[in-house]
Amino acid sequence: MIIFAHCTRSAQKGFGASLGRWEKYCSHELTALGMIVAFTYLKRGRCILVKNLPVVPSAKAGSMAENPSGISWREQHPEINTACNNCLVCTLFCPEGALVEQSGQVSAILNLCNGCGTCAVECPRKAITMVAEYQGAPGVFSSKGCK
Amino acid sequence: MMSVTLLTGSEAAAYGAKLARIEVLSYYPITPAFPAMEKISKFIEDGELKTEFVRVECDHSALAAALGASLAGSRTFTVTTSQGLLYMTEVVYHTAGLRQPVVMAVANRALSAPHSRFPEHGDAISQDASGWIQLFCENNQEVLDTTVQAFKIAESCRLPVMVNYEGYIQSHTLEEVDVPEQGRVDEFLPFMRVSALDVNNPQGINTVTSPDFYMDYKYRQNEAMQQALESINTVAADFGREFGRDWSGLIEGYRMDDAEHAVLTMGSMTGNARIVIDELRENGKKVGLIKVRSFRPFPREALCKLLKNIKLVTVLDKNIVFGAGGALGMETKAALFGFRAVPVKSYVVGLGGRDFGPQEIKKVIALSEENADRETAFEWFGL
Amino acid sequence: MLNIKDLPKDDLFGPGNAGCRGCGAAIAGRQAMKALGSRTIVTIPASCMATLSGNNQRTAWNVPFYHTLFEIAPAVSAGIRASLDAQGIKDVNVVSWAGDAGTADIGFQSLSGAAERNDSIIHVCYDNEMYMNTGGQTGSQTPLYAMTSNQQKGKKTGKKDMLAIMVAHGAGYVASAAISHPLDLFEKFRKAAARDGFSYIHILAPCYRGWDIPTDQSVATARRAVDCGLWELFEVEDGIRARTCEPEFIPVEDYLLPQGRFKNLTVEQIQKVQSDVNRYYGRGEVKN
Repeated sequence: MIIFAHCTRSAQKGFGASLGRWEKYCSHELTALGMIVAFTYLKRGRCILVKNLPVVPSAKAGSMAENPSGISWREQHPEINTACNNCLVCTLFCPEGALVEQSGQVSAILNLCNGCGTCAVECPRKAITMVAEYQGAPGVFSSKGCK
Repeated sequence: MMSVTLLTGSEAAAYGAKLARIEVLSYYPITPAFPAMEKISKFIEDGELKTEFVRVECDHSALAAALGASLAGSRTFTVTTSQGLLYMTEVVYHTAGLRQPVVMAVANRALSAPHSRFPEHGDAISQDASGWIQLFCENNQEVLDTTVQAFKIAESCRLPVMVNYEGYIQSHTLEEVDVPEQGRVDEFLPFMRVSALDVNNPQGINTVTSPDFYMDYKYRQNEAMQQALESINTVAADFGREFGRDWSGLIEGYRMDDAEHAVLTMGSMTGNARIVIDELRENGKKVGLIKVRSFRPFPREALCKLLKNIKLVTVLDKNIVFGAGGALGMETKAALFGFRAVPVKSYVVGLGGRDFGPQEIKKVIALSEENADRETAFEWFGL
Repeated sequence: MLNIKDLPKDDLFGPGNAGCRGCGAAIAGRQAMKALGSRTIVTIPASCMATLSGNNQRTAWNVPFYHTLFEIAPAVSAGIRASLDAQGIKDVNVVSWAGDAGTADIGFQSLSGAAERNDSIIHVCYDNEMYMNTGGQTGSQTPLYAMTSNQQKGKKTGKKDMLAIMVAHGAGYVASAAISHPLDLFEKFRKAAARDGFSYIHILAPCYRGWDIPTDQSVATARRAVDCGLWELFEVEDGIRARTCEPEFIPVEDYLLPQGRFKNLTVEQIQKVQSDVNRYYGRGEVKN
C-alpha cells in the first residue's frame, strides 16, 4: 500500500516532482531483461497496470546494436582470406557496419551481419567469399533470395 | 506597478508572449490572427524581445518549427486560426503526443466551406481530441493573463496549451488592459530548459511504436491531462495572488448561489451574458451564469458541483458538431449523466459571426424557459 | 582527397539497423555520419530510414535523432537551428535526412521554405527513386520508364531535377553524391558541415527490392549509374559549378538492363535515354 500511495502522490505533483527515478523525461536505462517495469496506479480501488515509459516517446541511443535482428534469418556470411591487405574499402560499403578493422586486419562482426554479400562484390582484391549458413541437402523451396 | 493601456486581443496575446520571454517564434499569416504575429515581430525588431523568428512558408510548418525548437529546449509560441489550425492538425496531435509545452494563441474563426472569416468556436472544437489543453478567454485582459498562465501550465504538465479568443470581436477590438511588469512575470514564470534533442545525451525521439506500447503512452498522456485539472486551478490561484486577477481557473460560477436556472457560456459571449444575468436578477429571476474557461480538460466535477441544485440548464454553443450537437452541450449532458437528472437545453448560436449580443442572450434564456419540458438534442437560435 | 584510414572508425549510425540486405539507405547513412560527427542532430521524416532506425525503445542512432511527420523535416530542422541559435550553441550540425518523397514531393514545401530562408541546415535526400517505405510506388524522383508497384507499365515522365531546383533557390551548397563513391560523399558532407546557410546533398542510394537487383549489387549499380552519365556527381558552391567525377560513359543499357524495374525497356526507349545523356554531356550521337 505504501508503494501505491507513493506512486499516486507523485503522479499528481506535476512534472518537476515526477522527474524521479521511475519517470525520466527521455528513455530510461535498459534493464538486463529489456525495457519494461510494470507500474501501478491506484484509482478508486482498481489497479491499472501501465508500462513505465518516458514522458517523451524515445529510445536510448545505440540500443538497436544490442539486439540486432539480421542474424536469425541470414543465409550466408563473409569469410575474409589472406589476400586482404586492409584497404578498408569494404568497411565503407557494409550497410550494418559489421566489418571492422581489428589489430591491422578486417574482420566481420557476425552478430551484426545479415548476409547481403555486398562486401564480397566490392572487395578490390576479391579477398572475401560468402559462405552459406546451411550446408546440407537442398530443401523443397529454393532459397535464392527473397523478393 | 502595472500600466493600463488600450489593447486589442491580438496585442494582448502578443504582450503575453513577450512577457513570457519566448525564445523561438514561428507563424504563418492568416486573418484574423496576423495582427498578433505582426505585433510580436515589431517587439523583436525594436529590440524589446530577444527571440529567434522562423519565417515559415505555411501554417503546418509554423507549428513544426515551434515543435522542433521546443524539442531542442526552447520556450516557443505560435498563433493561428481556423484554416491554419486545421492545416496544422497533424502537427497539433503530434506535439501533444510528444508532450511538448508549446503555447498557441488561436483567434477563433469559422471553418470553410462556405468560406468565412468571422468568429465562432468551430476551429478549436475540431481539435478537442488532440491532447491540447484548451482555455477560452472572456476579454482582452484575460487573453494576456491566460497567455502568461499557459506557459506555466504547459511546462508543469508537459502538455501544449491553446489560448482561444474570438476573431474580430476580441482580436480586433480595443479594451483596457493592465500589462504586468516584466520583472514580476519573470518571477512567476521561471524557465527550466529541458531538451529532448541534446548532443550530450543522445536519444531517438518518436520511434516507430508497436501496439504493445502505444496505448500505454496514451494512457499516460491522458493522466497528464487529468493532472492539468489541478494545475490550471493552482496556476490561476498563484497568478491571482501575484497580479490580483485569477480568472477562476477551470470554471466560474457567477451569481450561482441560489440560482434555479444556469446558463453556460464559453468565450466572448460571457461578458455579454453577465450583463443579461444582472438585468434578469434585478427583475427577480433566479438565474446564474457558468463560464467554462477550460474546455479541455473538461471540468466535470467542478461543473456538477455548480449544478447541484439547478432546475434548468441552458448551454450556448458557438460551434456545431454535425449530426450530434453543440460541443459544450454534449459535454454538459455527459457530465450530468449519473449525477443528476435535470433538463439541459442546448442552443447552437452565432455561427460564422452571426450576431449574438445581450438582446439575443436574453431572448434565448426566455426561449429556454418556455420550452424547458421539450426534450431535444439541440436547437438552433438566430436563424 | 581524403584517405579511408583517416576516417573515424566508430559508427554513429548503422549497427543493428533493421534495413533489408544491402540497403543503400543504410550505407548512405553510415558513410554520411562518418563525415558529420557526433555533434549532429538528425531529423528524419516518414521513410525507410525512419523505419529501419529502430522501434519502440530501441534506436540505431548514436546522435540525437527525431522521427518527424512526413512533410516537416526541413521545418523542424529550422526550428531546432533557431533554438540552438537562441542558446548560443554554434557547433552542432542540424541535418534533415529525407527520402525522395520527403524531399521532392510531400516534403517539397517545407524544403523550399528552408532553402529560401537560407536556414543553416543540411538537407540530405537519400534517393531510392520510389516510395519504398510504402512498398515502392512511383514518385517524382522515379526515372523515365521505370516500373513500380503502382505503375507496372513504366513511368511516363522524367525525374524531377531537384538539384537544379535547389540551385534555383540560391542555396549556397548543392551537391549530388552516390554510395559507390564514398570519399567524394565525405568531402561533400564535410564542406556542407563547415558552411553556414542552407546546404543540399542528394545521394543516389539503390534499393534491391525496388530496383529488382540482387542484394549484393546496390553499390555496383550506383557505380554504373555514375559511369554511364545518368547520375552526374557535381557540386555547386556559391554559384560555381564543378563536376567532381568524370563518367566513363559506359552504355546506359549496362546500367538499365540488369535492373528488373527496366526489364521491359524497348530498344527505342534505351536509345532515347542514351540520346538524352549524350545531349546533356555534349558528346556522341544524338537522336532527336
